Amino acid sequence: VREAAAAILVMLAVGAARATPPWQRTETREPCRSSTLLRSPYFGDLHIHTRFSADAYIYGTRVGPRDAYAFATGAAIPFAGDDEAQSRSARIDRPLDFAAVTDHSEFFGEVRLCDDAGSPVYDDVQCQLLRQAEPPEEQRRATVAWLFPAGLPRPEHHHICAAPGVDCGGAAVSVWQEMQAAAEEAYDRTEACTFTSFLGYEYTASPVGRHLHRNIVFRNHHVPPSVSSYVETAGGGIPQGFWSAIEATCLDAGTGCDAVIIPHNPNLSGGMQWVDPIDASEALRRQTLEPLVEMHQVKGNSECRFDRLAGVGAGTEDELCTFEQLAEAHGGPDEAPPPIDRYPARNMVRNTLKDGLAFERRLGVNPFQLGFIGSTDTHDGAAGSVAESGWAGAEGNNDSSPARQIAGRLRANPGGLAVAWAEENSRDAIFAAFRRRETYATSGTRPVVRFFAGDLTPVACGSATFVRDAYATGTPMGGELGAVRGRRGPRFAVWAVQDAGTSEAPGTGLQRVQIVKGWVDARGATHERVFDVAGAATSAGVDPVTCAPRDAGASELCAVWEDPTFDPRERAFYYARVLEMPTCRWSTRVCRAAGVDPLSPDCATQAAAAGSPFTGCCLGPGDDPFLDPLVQERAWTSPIWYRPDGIARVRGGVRYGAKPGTDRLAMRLTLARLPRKLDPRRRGLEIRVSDDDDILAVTIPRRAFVRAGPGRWVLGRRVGPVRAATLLLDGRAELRLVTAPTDLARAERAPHLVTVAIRSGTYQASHTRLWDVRGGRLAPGGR
Amino acid sequence: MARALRSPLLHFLVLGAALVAFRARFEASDGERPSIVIAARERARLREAWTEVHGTPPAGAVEERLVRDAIDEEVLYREALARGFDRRDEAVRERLVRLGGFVGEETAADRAALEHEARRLGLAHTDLVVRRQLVEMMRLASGRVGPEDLPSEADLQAYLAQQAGEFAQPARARLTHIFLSAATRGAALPADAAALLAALRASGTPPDQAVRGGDVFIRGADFDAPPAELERVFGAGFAAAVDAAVPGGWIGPVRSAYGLHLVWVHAREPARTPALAAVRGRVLHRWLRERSAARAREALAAMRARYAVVTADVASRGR
Repeated sequence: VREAAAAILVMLAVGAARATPPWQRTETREPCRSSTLLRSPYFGDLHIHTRFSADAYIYGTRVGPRDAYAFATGAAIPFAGDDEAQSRSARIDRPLDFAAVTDHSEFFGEVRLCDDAGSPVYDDVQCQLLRQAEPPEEQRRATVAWLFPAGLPRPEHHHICAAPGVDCGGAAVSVWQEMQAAAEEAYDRTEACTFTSFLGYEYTASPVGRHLHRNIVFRNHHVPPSVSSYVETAGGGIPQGFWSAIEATCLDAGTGCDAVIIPHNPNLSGGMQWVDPIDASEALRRQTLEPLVEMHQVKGNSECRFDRLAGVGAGTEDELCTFEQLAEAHGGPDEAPPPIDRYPARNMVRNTLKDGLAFERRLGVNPFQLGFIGSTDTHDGAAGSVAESGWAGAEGNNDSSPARQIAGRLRANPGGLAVAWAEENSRDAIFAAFRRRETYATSGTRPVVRFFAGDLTPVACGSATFVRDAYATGTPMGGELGAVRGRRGPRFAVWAVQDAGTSEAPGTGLQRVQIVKGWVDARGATHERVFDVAGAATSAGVDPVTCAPRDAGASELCAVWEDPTFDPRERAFYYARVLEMPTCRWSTRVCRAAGVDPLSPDCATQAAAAGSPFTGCCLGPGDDPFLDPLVQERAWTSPIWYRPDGIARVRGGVRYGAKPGTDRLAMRLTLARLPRKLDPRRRGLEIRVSDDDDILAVTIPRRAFVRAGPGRWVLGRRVGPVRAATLLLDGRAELRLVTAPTDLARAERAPHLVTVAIRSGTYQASHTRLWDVRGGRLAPGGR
Repeated sequence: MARALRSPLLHFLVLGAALVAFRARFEASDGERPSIVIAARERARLREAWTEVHGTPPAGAVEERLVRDAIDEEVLYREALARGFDRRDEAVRERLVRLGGFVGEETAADRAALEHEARRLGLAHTDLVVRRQLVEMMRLASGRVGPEDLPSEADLQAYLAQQAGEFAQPARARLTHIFLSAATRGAALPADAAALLAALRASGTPPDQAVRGGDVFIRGADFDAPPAELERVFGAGFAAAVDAAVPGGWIGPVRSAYGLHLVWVHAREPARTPALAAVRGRVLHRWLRERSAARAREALAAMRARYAVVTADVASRGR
């Protein structure tokens, strides 16, 4: 009791009251009963196929979007059996908080017409190919015939669309409308906020089998009347043609439409998922449109790659990068997987992030500033079906029996989840998390992970105000930092808690937390290093009967860490990787049920007795570069980027006047290094201070600053509400400004998150902190 | 209601059905009913078609379903012809024009002549594509819901009340908990929890006095959540303990995946039916979908009743 009494802590006041979240509500709905300013983790799946995807249909999947959302919320749905009859059934281990059905948009119309017995092309060979039930080994012909146009430089719709009386465009719209109806029916707009459906689809450009695929996820129901696909947009380039279509029909359409585009499993892109940007403005366009990458899914992991037999990695020495790797580097026909030294670097996200830093050094803009999510890519409509135990598969009848799963799909895995830190479970709140990249990916389990970087002086593990202090003095995952503590470099705080699990499958404890750093040096060369920051690389293996880890691991790990190799001149990113203790992989469970134990020395003998499909069961670290009968589930937080020319510090804030119209904003903003593009003679300077509204949004035109001495510029006249401003440019940069008395009542007088952003040409930087109210002022709370 | 008119589902249903300007109305016919015969030969054909697609012959129940579907298809086809759909539907006419061009003796490019030629050859009654199109048109027509079917506010209210279970907001509990971490306290955990609970009860400390002892929980101390969510946050069994608690006092220790918890339940709310305004979109979509399905079902039953159906029984199987 003495201990407990000594540990009595002041209750966290923030979060109890409903405070302004930094986004606007764009739809008609009740606010959520459960809502918190400092955010909760919501678990979802943003990559789900149903029968509207030609390949899923060919695999025997007949469920639609409504079924997928039903599965996500706990209902059982049918799966294709061996003969494609819907003879199997499964349900999720625990419901999701959000999901998006993302069918391949290329052939919506064709699939609908071939599925409709009344259509004039119903008996066409193309349609018969789609509907004909086929064993997996014979599906290739049908799949290739259907998806072939997605691999051509000048794709066209299938010939059935040219038949008289056939309207593929109209049929595609009817599919899109059915998807919208299903999403609307699944979306909980009540204050209970039990489930959020998102609208989306997949863009499926696959030149020569290189998967340059992207999902689009829309913010709300204001979506374009028809979908865009590779077929219509190929002429504009991959993915620039698609970007242009989305800008025209959504982002710039003035309809309230908003969307993010999410590239996924780059491990099958043959190195082409992210090509070099042609210039700074294209780099900025990419950074804006594609804030996230789906890094883990059924078709493998794309963080990093290490071949344990060769003892070599693709740009890494990180031995944990053997995790859930596919053998091949793209989906092209009949080429052997490349040896590790010729494996395309940007198939792996860590390499892409490093290259992003190098581009930023040259162009001033990072084209590959990617936050992380995981998802499934299920082709069974089985949203979030990620449990290793009892996995029903993801590709229709390819997974209809243990023999098929082991013989044909050994390197597949149940896929991952997308986790968003959001104030509440609604479309606007979760979409805003996607935009600011405050997300993390998991390989399917549900650990809870907080990750911050910044000054973080008051932040300590075990502190009741950890989260509040971290938001006040640092940025969460997905954000960026300037030189917050000068040469000493930022502090990092990571706090991870294990998955709570279910009654059938208790969650697995944590082994360790790592921070992965990538950086670019003064010569432009990129580097990476992995630091263990909590826990240790211990494992005692698993119980051979129950598969439970022998060493239970930690239910919670936490660390506040400083980078011993920090160099303030070097651009860098840092992300946290949280590792669970090893447990049995899905394939190990399937093999064991068939009488073949991958963990037994008698595995080969047992496999011989069980039959040829099961020989794969015995592959492991001794004879395969990647496969392992044990799986070490993990989570990856979105990175935090350190930018020498990012915003190091914001001082000042809003001083509320005694009478309306007499408020003022005074601010001093410091950058440790002068950005190349910041030149008041040549470019205007946009300054924006915002929460859910713009508190201040002003563009100071070029030449409005007048030279007043070496490296010193002053505003020669009033610009909008800004009465005075000074710009000091002497290798460092400092901006001071003050507004005339004005009405700033839209800046709520309560603690909340405020973003200060500046932009000049293609240079932009931002700084978000929890601002607090003290003595009539709203100001950044920390250092 | 303007919002309902913009509903995608409605467009989806109406666009499909608007191909025919037709309102289904079915009366029983007088006199002798026309007959539909599914002979043993037909059964065999259905079995073969199924086997060809699925690799194995249909099970008994599946075969009966196939026969039922075949009867329905024939009924829909005949009813479509009886209503002259084959003369009004653009897709059917387009098909007949093409067929006329392929098989007819007429060489003129005159569309009307080609269509006439196809009809003269009986293709409107024998072509499989025409048949399927007519069946689907009839299906759509019989399940048609249009703007005139849009439910009134009272209809939706009544439907929501009737389907309250489907739209119910789950029960929920509002609680504050004090967390005692297994990781931090190790072997002292049970004793710490028991002692703290006793102290809290003895002093009568309520949670809203803004003080607490214990360890910090990553997802906070205050929850307002349904049982399913509590289970996902804390692990199995937690919600049951909360459900059993009398609000307004400390209970515990309750075990979670992370340690022990002392819980104060402020209030529990039973599941309840939400206000219509909050679920209007979902209710309307569901209502329209069900109305369409029910109408199609009733119409098909009424149409089927107009025919005398004769099927070869299962005994003829394999002959």
